[in-house]
Amino acid sequence: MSGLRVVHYLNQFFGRIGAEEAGDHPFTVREGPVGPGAGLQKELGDAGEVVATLICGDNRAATDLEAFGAEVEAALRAQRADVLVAGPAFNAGRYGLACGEACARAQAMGIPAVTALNVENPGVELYRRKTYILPTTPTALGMNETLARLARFAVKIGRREPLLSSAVEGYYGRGVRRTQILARPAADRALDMLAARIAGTPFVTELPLPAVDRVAPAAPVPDITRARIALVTTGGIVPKGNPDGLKQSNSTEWRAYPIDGVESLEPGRYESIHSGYDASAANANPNYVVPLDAVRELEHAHAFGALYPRYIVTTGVGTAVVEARRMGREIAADLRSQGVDAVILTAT
Amino acid sequence: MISALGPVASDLGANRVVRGVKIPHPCGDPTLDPAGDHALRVGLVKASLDALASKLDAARIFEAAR
Amino acid sequence: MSGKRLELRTFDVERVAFGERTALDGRTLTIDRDEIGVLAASDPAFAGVDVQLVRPGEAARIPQITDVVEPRVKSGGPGGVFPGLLSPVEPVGSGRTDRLRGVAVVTSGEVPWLGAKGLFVAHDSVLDTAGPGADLHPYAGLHLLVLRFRFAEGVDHEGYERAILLAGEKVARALALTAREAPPTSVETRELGRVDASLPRVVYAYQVQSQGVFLRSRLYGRILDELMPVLVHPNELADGALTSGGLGGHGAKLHTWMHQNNAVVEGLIAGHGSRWEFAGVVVHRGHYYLYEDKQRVGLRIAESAALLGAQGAVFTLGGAGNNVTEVMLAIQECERRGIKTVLITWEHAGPDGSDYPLPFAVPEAVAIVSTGNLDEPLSLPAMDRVVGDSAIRARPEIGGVPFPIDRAIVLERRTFYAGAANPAGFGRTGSVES
Repeated sequence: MSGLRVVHYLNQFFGRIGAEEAGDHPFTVREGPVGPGAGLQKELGDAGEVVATLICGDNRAATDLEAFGAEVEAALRAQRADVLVAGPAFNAGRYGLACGEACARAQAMGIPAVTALNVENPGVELYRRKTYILPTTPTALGMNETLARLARFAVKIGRREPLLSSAVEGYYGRGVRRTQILARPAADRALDMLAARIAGTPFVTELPLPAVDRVAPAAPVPDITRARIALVTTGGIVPKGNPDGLKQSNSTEWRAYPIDGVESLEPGRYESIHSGYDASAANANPNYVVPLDAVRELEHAHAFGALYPRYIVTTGVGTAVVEARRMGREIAADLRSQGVDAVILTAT
Repeated sequence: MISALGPVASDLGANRVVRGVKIPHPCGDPTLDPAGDHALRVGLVKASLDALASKLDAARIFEAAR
Repeated sequence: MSGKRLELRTFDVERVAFGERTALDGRTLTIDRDEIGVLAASDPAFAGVDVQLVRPGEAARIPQITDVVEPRVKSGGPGGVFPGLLSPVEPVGSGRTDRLRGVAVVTSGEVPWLGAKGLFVAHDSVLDTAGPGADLHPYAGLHLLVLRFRFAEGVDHEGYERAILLAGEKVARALALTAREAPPTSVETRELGRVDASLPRVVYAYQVQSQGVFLRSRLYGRILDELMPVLVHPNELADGALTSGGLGGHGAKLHTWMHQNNAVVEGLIAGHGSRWEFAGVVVHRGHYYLYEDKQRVGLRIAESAALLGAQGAVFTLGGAGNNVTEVMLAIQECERRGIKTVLITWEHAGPDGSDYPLPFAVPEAVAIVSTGNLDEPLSLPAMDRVVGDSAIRARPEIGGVPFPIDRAIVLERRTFYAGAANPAGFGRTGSVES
């Protein structure tokens, strides 16, 4: 097996150019290993050769990651890199961003890449889904053992060997979870976890809950009496017969149905196909989910400007957040293009 | 957003939330007489319009006057 | 805690065959096919039944499961199994109960939809006894007596539901009755006796589903639509006090067998006196439609646990969706009272496993056991035999579309595979992050 062509990225300090004052140093390519790259080469042994070292000042890289990334791509191509190793950057924030960006670009080009950052480094959250990041100690005191882990991992991914879970392989989870048959029944695992919690001994949750995405509240409608408003629902209210075959759960599509001149949603002409709630009330009076009769009354009383002549529907139950996000963007773009200022969204 | 699970919606990132009645009928109450039910629904839509016209720094749950 | 003392006699069955009469001889169970058929299909909701056997090791695909029941009968003490349904409303969980281990009654059939489209529809599923699907439910090692029903016209959903539930129970009891004269393989005494005062007290918060027809658990025969959390002794569960609500279908449904053999209950009983004091089961339902009702449930569970002096509580889910809210609120209230919680749940992480995994969560839910991602597709090889029709019904919301199952199939989501969510923790499924 011939050795892998390994390219190494370092910042200006580890790249032996200078310290903080050299933070603006432009992107440079040096032949062979530099600084800690020698340690990396030693750990790689015959499995790989550090053919080149890419060096860039932290400030230079972090202030224009786009341009930096382009230079990384060009260099990787020129060097015919099999794998990219960046850092380790430990707790250094800007260095961590540069390492993450370099690796993300490499992965996007199909070149396996790995870096190593301390858990506190902001680069972890930003890049862990885009490349492989190994954990490190907070400071460079852990340099030697980190280089050893980086080398082993680089060889694995450079050779395109299959990887086990992030916990086993030792990298930050990428947020992709797969069902597997484990060694013991879930009930046993739960009771062991309970005993540990009561005794105060360490335990590891099997499902760390990711943070919820928050959006800043939109600016208020400046003059509600002139606003164009649209009705949107995730309650699965469709024209009777479900003419477009909207799914009853796990939705990936949305539809718009005309309500021009319609003062109220008549039972018998609309129905709920949502599979997550008792539809009897909604079928007897669809206004319970899409409040058209009340909206029309307020429209006629000039409480707002005008009602958009279609209502939009999808089904909420079991629908993946990623699909909901996409549909939300599509609906927003569609309504915006129609001059809609605000939406009343009803959920079940 | 009108939702019976106001606090859930708010916790999960919806900024303007109006408390709906119940999951299967967020915008109405079949136990009320038709006039009362309709007034309730109008109240929910009014609260929604108020929410849309309100400046917010953070998520807020609006209650309709019942 | 003292009180109920149950002698549970287990009769292991290693061979099952159709024969002249329904009897247990040593570890061989013979079944009079015609007699069982008549017993099973006696309700006028049925047009007939086909009685089949599936042996462990066979590669069979059983479509459209409605329930799975372990043969049990009371052979001493007050009450009868499945109180309030098959037996009168009398206290159970003490005295003596006989069970056949190694056999289960499976009720199945194409339950008419009658034009229903949304929630209250008997959703079709499949269950494989071999291949990768066999790991996803507790029945692969059992002899399965499959009752495949045909349904009469002119009956409503409630009628079908009740007939199916009782049929499974009747046949289960009839099979267990064969054990009357036989010597048991093992006898276990189950009681929650006194323990060392140093042991922590723990409770099990057992959520069941109760939203409407086909999704209705019963406690002592009564539906739980208006249930506030209630204390139940684990021995009562052994005698069928809690029966299935989610007729078969959806991967997150709890079959009667799972209520009878709940893995969390079994584990808590096994550790009683050595690891903890098992103080009781708080049975509750989720899917309340009013947010305040969810808060009420959360509070009542926590207050019940606190009243029992619990230091720990285990939670499982009954069904999928907004019912996780009740459990999360209960977890929050328990943790605020210093009661440590653990939750067993599956994930809804989207088809590629990267989505936000739960419909709702609270920061206090720090200890979770995951049974895997229910949104993943599931590839299943062809089985040697289909114990039913060669196609099941998909898409009730457009009136139903046939989905052939007499071949290798790919289920769009594990949701469509019976038992896949591992709701009571039997299985070894879990989730691994890459």
